[in-house]
Amino acid sequence: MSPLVRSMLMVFGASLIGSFGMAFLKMGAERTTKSIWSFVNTRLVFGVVLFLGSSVLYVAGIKGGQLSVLYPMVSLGYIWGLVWAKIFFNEPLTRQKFAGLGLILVGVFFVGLGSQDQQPPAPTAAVQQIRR
Amino acid sequence: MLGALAQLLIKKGTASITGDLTSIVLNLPLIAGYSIYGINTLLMVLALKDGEMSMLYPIIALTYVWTTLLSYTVLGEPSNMYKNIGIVTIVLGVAVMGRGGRK
Repeated sequence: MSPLVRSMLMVFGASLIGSFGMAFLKMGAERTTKSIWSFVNTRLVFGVVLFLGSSVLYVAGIKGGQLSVLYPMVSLGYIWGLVWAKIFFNEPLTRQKFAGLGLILVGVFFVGLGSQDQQPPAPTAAVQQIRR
Repeated sequence: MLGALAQLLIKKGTASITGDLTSIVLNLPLIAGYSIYGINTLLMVLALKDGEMSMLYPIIALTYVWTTLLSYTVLGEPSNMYKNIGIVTIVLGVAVMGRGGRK
């Protein structure tokens, strides 16, 4: 498997996991009350764990490939999110949401294109910490 | 009103994410980054409680805008045409998204 394909799969996975994380965060958020302890509920904690997993996978994936390809792939998570929002929370999918999402995807693509000529940031202490 | 508050919260939240990113780039103490990330998650949860996930999730893309602006100002990176086009398009997208929300 070429490094780019490997990176793409990792980033793809990260976007999918992240979107599930968001769905669990939403489920957990709906169960919170004014009490601080209500914020420590299973769904919310699971959502945070998914987010952490997603970001580790993302950092690992983004190191080994072209940012113009990998950045927009992260935004795939927003598309998953739209689908989960419809399925799990029955949120209406309006034309504005699709149009807005389309613009955002195009924008992220351009930011990735602009980041192309720059080296991906060298692994810092923080990243090494996560890897350990 | 609550929707507007949620959007305000999420905007603050995305700003915090970039704060976290730059803290990694600038190698500031990890603990600061993590606490900012924690605050960010908390704001996200508060926004999600009353906001629509289909709307709030893509708004996180504003992170790219903040990151780019911070890299221009804090890190002093040269302005980049593609990035400028990108962040303007993202802001437009978020604006359109905001109009599509439940009133």
